[in-house]
Amino acid sequence: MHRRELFRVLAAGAVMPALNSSAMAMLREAQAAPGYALRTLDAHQNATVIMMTDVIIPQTDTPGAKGAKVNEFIDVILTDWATDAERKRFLEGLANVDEQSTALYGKPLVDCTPAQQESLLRAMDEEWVREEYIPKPHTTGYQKRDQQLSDSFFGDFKRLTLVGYYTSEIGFTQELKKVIIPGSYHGCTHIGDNKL
Amino acid sequence: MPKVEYDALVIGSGITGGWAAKELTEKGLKVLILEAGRPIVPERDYVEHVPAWELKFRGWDRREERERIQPIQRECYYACDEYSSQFFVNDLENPFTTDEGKPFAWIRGRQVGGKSIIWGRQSYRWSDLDFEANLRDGIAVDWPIRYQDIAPWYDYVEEFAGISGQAEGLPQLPDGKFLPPMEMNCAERVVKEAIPKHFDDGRMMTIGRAAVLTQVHKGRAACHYCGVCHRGCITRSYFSSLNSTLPAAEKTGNLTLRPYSVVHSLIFDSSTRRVTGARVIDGQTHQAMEFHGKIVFVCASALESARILLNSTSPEFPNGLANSSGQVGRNIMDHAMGGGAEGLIPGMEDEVDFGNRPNGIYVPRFRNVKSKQSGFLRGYGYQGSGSREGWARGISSPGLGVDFKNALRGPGAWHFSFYGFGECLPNPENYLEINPAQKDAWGIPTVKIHCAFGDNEKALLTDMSIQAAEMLAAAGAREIRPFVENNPPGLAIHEMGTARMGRDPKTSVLNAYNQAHDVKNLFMPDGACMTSSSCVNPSLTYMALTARAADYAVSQMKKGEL
Repeated sequence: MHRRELFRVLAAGAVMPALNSSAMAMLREAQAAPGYALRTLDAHQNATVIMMTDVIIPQTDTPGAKGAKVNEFIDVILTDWATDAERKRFLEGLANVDEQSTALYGKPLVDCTPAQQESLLRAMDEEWVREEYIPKPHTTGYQKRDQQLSDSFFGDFKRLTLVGYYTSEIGFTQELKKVIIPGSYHGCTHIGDNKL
Repeated sequence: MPKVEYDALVIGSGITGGWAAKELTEKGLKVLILEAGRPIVPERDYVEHVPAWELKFRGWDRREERERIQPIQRECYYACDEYSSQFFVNDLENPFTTDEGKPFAWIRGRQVGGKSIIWGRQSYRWSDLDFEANLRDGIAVDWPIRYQDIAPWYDYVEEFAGISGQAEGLPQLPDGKFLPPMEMNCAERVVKEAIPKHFDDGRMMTIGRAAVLTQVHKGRAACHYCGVCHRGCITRSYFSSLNSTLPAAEKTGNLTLRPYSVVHSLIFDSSTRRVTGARVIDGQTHQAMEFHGKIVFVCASALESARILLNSTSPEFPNGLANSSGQVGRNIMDHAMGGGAEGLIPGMEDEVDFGNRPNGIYVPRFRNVKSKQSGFLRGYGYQGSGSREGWARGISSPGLGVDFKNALRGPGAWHFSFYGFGECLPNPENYLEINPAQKDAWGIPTVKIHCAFGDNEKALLTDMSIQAAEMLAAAGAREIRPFVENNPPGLAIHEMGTARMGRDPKTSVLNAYNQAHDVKNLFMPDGACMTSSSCVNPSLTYMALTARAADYAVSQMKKGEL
């Protein structure tokens, strides 16, 4: 029914391109293009980031973080969004992952078995979530926007992974099966009744 | 160059400038709009359907640039982001100053369409509870109009703009000419039902009244629920000057619109005691020029309009044009925003809403309506909404891997939040003045703003937070978190009051028709004219006052009075 409603909207004479095709060419030039060359992460750091993001959001019936190139988004954020202090802290956190891995398993995390990788990352996740349960002051939208890299390393890493994945084309269209133009609004409907 | 005289100059092309241009051109006047900012081409500049993955920062701030050139604009609600920061001014080009420890968030949009591109679209009528408030409380001056004076003009602008909403029959929030209301979602229905059962002070909840079309209306398409109106709307489904009034004005053949026209001041002719035109600095070439008109509508937004008057000095008006009362620039008000509460509504796990509704719920004012509060004057209303938590809940939830990913595919708990907007009392000590030492990028003297909320606004914010939490508790919410944000005035972007209407030329700037007491062919229908602030969103009232003022101006012109 919703597809039909969408067509009804289109038939109403509206010019509604699926995308604003000529919009904001300037912004689009800046995105991580195909063949993106890393600017902050070195080869080892990048391999570690790819592995960690893919443990958090693995491939299932849809591609995971690796398939959605979340590592490239993280490199963009570290290079052009983070402050110098935030970038330094993030890279130190990444190095600390290898320190923990070396202490536990005698090698950097990328060289460990998948079970070892997951085990260490789960331990880091539990520590982060305990910290997250400490109540924080209410913040407004713009304040939150400045606090994307101000938690512990794993909190920041998990946030970047989730944001990078679910705002990617794969995450948005394949995993969440969302559409940019729903075409109608229904306030309270049974789950599964509103697939386009 | 021969002097061209237009019938009317309109300064600004936002909500009131667009309405002034539409009304005046449709009545046959040749109108020139002077807009300070750039032209907007919807096909190029609207970005509502650009997916996040096409943007460098996925819609986050372009942080370094925002901090450098928009440190004030970026404090605006989420709208000043990677998509829409193009619709906000450059703070370096448009400086102003404040007192130490008294910040003011002056949020501005300088482009064709002004802030009407990025406004929140909530559209509520005032009532006599508002128009009689100053008289009743003995504060400031009385409004020179009552609800019956403006009611037909609310009808008129609503019919053109298209306001969706639900008629409720409330005396403090009169019904309008509504398009069909949007639906409430599951959580909102639970809260709506609980409120009247637990409170006997008349409080209730209705769907937001929004200038968003729920059906085809006057050649504009119904909303398609992409949900990000502040990025533009290629189907023209919400009201903005660009989507609605400017095309109507253009259709008459009587409109000339000049972008990049930064008005420096108005020209006053002491022999006729009329304004004859505007001094303009070209936004691109910085060349000084003049434009002339028989009448002038100043629609530059409340603080800018006052600035233009204060910068228009002459031997007759050494303290600013039309300022014999000394009230130009005084009585700055903005809604005290940000007391509220949020919580989770249990149950309804198998129910969701579908589509991105660009609207929320509204709880009309209930304080000092039926009974009198001891702690504060006037009252507040809440906006708010229910929603199921999305993937972002994963950031603060334990887990990783396949199960984690699969859980985030579906929606989380139902979340609900109330966010209050309180009436601000007029106070002559909240004012702006010209700061001759500081010029903007076009060499025009800027303003110094002296403004802070008082005890009454602070008391409202506290009460908003408590009552919001109590309503959530009544609705069975869990994890209720009340909050009071410490927002500076200005951030609600409902700034108003700098050239108030009134009955007495000694204590007010404008008469009952938004006409300057001192200068008969000068009209100011934007937020500057407001004598008090109500607690409801003001734009619909500005629209009605503008249409009414334009009608009056043309009738006076025809009588030869202007």
